[in-house]
Amino acid sequence: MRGRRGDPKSDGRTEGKERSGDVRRHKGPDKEKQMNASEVKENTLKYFEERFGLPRTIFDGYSIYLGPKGRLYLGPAKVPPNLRIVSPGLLIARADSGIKPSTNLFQLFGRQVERNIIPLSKEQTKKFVMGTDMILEKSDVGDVSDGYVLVRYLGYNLGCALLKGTTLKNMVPKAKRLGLSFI
Amino acid sequence: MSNIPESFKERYCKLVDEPEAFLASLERPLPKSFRVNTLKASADEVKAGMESYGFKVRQMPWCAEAFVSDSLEIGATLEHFTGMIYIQELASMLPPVIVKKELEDARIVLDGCAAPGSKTTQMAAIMQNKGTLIANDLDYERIRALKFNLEKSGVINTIITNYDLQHLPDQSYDVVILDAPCSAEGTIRKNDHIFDSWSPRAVSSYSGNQRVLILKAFDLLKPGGTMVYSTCTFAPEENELVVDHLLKNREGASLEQVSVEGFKTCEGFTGYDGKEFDPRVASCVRVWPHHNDTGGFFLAKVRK
Repeated sequence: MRGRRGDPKSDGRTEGKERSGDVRRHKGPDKEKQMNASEVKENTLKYFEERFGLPRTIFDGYSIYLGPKGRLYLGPAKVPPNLRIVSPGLLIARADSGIKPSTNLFQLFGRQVERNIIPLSKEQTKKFVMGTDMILEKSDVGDVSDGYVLVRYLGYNLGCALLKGTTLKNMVPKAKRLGLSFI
Repeated sequence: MSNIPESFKERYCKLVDEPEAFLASLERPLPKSFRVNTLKASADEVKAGMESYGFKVRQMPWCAEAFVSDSLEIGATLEHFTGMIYIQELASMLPPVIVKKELEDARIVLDGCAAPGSKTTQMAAIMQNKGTLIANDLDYERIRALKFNLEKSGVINTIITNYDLQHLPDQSYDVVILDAPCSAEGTIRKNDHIFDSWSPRAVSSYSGNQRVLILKAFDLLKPGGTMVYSTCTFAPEENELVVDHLLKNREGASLEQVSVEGFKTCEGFTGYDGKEFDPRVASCVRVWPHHNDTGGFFLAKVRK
């Protein structure tokens, strides 16, 4: 574990010259997690790669921070050492029990996702962005396996959902939900 | 808008080129505008999407990402849901536009009063998510909106801090944007409640704070660095007077001429209410609502 030096009350930002790809803790001393931070990051990147075909190179040049409740953030590689930080970057996953990719991660990097994609119809898309769970046809699921999936409508990467059989459990955060008037 | 105080009209009709056109513009709602978030989509892609819904969208000549739409419902589209667009008033896009080149080259940038994040997300897009952007705001409640908007826009190169800018720890920045808390007179077209709390005394109180902040923001610049000081108000006390205060108190400060090709602006006032300002403040610009059909704005570009 790199980067957690100095005042234990600090947020773990210590130096401005970290290597990219470093894992630093965002908040709070927690020995167990501290030891596992590199492991959590490694497991997450491996999962992104294996399940979605997301190459690790998209994270090059950034730092990954482990926050409370297994939240993993992707942020700038260099940060001034003396700042109290409220948010270290983009939330990319929750890795407390299993690994759940964030909707914002998929909306940003969705174009590079290669597999475990559920394409939706226009009507399904309207429901999805409102936060509705739905039952899919078996043919829509195809060879996508149970677990988290990228949900897509045409070229729009809508976000993350949890597939179990033919049930698609919606993961769109409440604050992002929207009634679409145009599609 | 019947609630515009007479004292406000008197104040500005003396200062503006076409008082009738100015007052009439305040009565009209703002055009619906948005900015394409180039971290997620190109202007052409978004334009095609919007046109497929039957919207007529017009690209601004002064910023390829800035559009005006004839439909008020741009918020109810997938482009909005996926963060491909950011709904933003045209005038508020100007601060990053006038330092676009500097932002492209910058390694570390500060947005001093960042919430809710329209300019921060615009700067992150210009920086192509590279380098480091510090988005600071004093108001913890508004930071929630800032965080939401940064994440929705796919911004990675930005961290959020919650300091009173006066007490932000020392650090040297290539670019500092100080879009200062102000009396917001220029936002009347979208919020006619601003006059509930408007008074010359409030203007004076904002001005005092702005004079403190502009010195601090300037001190945070690297030698050779660039600062934008901006407000969304017409009050000279919050604009030219503040820039004049900087020039009087920091020898190393110089002003660059602000110009935005294809966008009409007026030069800064070199005096007001019996006070003479440093003549260099003429390089600042005022944005009057009736000239480009926008909100009101003020911009100064300062070099260290």
